Amino acid sequence: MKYPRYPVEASDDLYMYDFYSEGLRGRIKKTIIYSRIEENLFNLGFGDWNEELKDLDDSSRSNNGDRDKVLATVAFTALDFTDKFPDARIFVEGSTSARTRLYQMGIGDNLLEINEKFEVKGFINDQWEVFQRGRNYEAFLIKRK
Amino acid sequence: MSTPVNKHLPGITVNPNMPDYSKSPFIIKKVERARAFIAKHGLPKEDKPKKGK
Repeated sequence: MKYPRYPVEASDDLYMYDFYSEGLRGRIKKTIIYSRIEENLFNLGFGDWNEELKDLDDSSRSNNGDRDKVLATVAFTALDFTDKFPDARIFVEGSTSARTRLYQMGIGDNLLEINEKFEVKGFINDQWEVFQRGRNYEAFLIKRK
Repeated sequence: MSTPVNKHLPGITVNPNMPDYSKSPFIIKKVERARAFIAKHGLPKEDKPKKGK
């Protein structure tokens, strides 16, 4: 992707990634987890570490002023993950429609670069289609080309 | 499934002490939600997971 990205730490088992967003509101720990749903199908879970909840959380926007760098970092983990699991399909859905829309904007803004490595489909009007800019999808499915 | 290779791209380092987030209630809920979505709407025909790999 055309944006810079943060350094990332990965777990031994290759399914989890951590990084720190650094911006207007300080240093925020972000975590990405690829959870197996079924054979070769994974869910991408992404959120901020919430110290109060002692859990991940994606219910609020960080507003750290680094959206593109954060999304570029998430995309980079998808590249790393699918290097390990080239047959994997990755399901992505935000916890809210606003969150899903944020992912959609991130994909749309970087579609040329993403399309070089990935095939992205979106779910809309009760069917899956090849991702197109300007469409409001409910969920996404990503796989390596 | 393909056998994973334990090597990351440049810019990614392994943290052997990373917490096991897979047991996080947030992640469990997300996975349940994804399963429900896929059970209801299905996957594109060509993207149904290949079995036995």
